[in-house]
Amino acid sequence: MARGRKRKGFGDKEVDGVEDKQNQYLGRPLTELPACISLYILVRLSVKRILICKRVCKTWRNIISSPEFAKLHFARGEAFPLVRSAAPLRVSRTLYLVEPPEHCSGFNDGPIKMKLDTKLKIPVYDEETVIESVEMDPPPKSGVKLRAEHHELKIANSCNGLLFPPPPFKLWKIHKEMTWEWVLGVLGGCLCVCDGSGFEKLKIWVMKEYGVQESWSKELCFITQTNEGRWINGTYDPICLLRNGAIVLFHSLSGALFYHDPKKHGFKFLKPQDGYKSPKYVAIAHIPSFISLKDVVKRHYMAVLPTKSRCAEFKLQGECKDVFLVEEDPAMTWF
Amino acid sequence: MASSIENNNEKLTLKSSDGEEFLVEKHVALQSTLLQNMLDSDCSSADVIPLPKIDARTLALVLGYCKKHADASSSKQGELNSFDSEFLKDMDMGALFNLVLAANFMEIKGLLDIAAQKIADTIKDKPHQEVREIFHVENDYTPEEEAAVREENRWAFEGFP
Repeated sequence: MARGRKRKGFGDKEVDGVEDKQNQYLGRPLTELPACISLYILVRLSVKRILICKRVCKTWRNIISSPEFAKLHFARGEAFPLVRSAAPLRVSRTLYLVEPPEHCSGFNDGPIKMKLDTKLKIPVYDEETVIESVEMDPPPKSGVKLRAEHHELKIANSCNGLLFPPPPFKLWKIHKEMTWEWVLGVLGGCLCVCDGSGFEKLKIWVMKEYGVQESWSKELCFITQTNEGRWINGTYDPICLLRNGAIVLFHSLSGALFYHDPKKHGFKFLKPQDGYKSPKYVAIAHIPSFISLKDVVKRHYMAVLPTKSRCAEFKLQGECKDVFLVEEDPAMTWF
Repeated sequence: MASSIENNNEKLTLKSSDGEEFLVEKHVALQSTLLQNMLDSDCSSADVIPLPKIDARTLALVLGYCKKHADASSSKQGELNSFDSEFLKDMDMGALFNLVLAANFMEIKGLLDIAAQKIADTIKDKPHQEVREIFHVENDYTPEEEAAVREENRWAFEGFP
C-alpha cells in the first residue's frame, strides 16, 4: 500500500520558484530547519499527528524518536480521558484516548459525535492460560471467548506503556469540611478533590500549593441538574483541565464524561458508544507521552507484559471495531 | 539590566543580511534576549549590530512584533493575543519559516511560540503525503521502511494507505 505514494522531486521545487518570483522562500524544504525548531513545531501536535509525521521522512522520524523530543513533549504534556470498556462479560484490550477535535481545544461545538481513533492496546494478562484454552484450529470466527479472570488488569496511568498496580491505596480525610463521597485526582497540575455529596451541587477543592494543608480551597461549584430539574447524583472523578479552560470529569454511574466550560452556560455529557446495546465504559486521566516506562521504572519492581504477544492476533469476542464519543441528553444518560 | 531601563530613549541600529539598516528604540530591542545580552555586556550600544541570518522583510516583521509587545502594558493581554493572531494571519509558509528562524536566532520566545504553533496548525489535519507537499520534503524511505513505520502504529493511518 505504501508503494502508491507520490514523490516530490526537485523539479517541482523549481516550478514553484518560477511561479512565485517575489517569494524567494517558498521552495525551502522543512528539513532545512534546524532540528531544534522542527522539534519545537512537532511537539505541538496531537499523538496521532505525531505518529503520522513520523512517516513524512527519516529526519522527522529521528527527531520524533529522540529522547529530547520525548522530554519536551512530556513537559508540555496534557492529560486527556482514556476510556476502556468495562462491560462485565466482554473483554477489550483497546483503550481510547479522548482528545478534543483537531480544529479546537474543547468540546463546545455541538452536538458532539466523533470517532475515537487514538488507540492503545494492552496485553492479555495470563497469556499462557489463554493460549491453552483457545488452542482450536482454526480459531472460532466470532472471536476467542476470554474469561474475565484472564484479564483482571487495573490501569493506573502511564507514559509510553501502562502501569497495572495492586488495588489502590486507602485515602483519608484531608479537610474538616470535606465529606466522604469524594474522589482524589489532579487538575491543572494541582491535587484536587471532587466532592459530590452536597445535594445537587458538585464541589471541587484544589490544593493550590502541594503539601500545604492551608492552601486547600473550594475552586468550583456546579449545579448538577438536568433541564427538567432532576439531580444527577453520584461520584465524579477529576480527569483533566483542557487548554480552553474547560473541565472534564468522569461520572461513573452513567459511564459518561462530564464536560463544563466555565465561559459557557451548563454542561455536557459525552458517552462512548460502540454499537452494543448498553455500552459501559470507565475513564482515567492519561498523559500521552513518548517516554518509555522501562527507562523510568526500575525493572526489578515490575513484570513487563509484551504488547506484541502471541495473543495479539486473536480476535476476542466482544471486541468492537469503532467507538464513538456521543453527546447525550443528561436526562437520557442517567434515567 | 538597571542601566538599560534608565536609558529608555536610546536607539540602536540593526543591519539585515541584505544590508538594510533599522533604527530601533532600545526598549523594543530588549524583547530579544540575544540583543539584551549584547547590550548588557556593553559590547555594541553605539555600533551597528549585524544580523547576518535575517533578511530585511523578516526583520521588519520581527521588529513590528517587538514594538507592539514592548509598548503594550501587561494588562492588555487580550489585545496582544488578538494582535498575535492577526499578525500571522495570511502569512505564507516561506515567511513563517523565516520568522521562526529569526525568532530562534534572536531569542524572542513569544514570537517563536506563536510562529511554531501556526506552522503546527497547518499540519494538524493533513495526511503525511500532503505534509510532504506543503513543506517540500523528499520522501527518503524505501517502500519497505515506510511500510514498517506505518505498521508500528497502524491505527494512526486508518482511513488512508
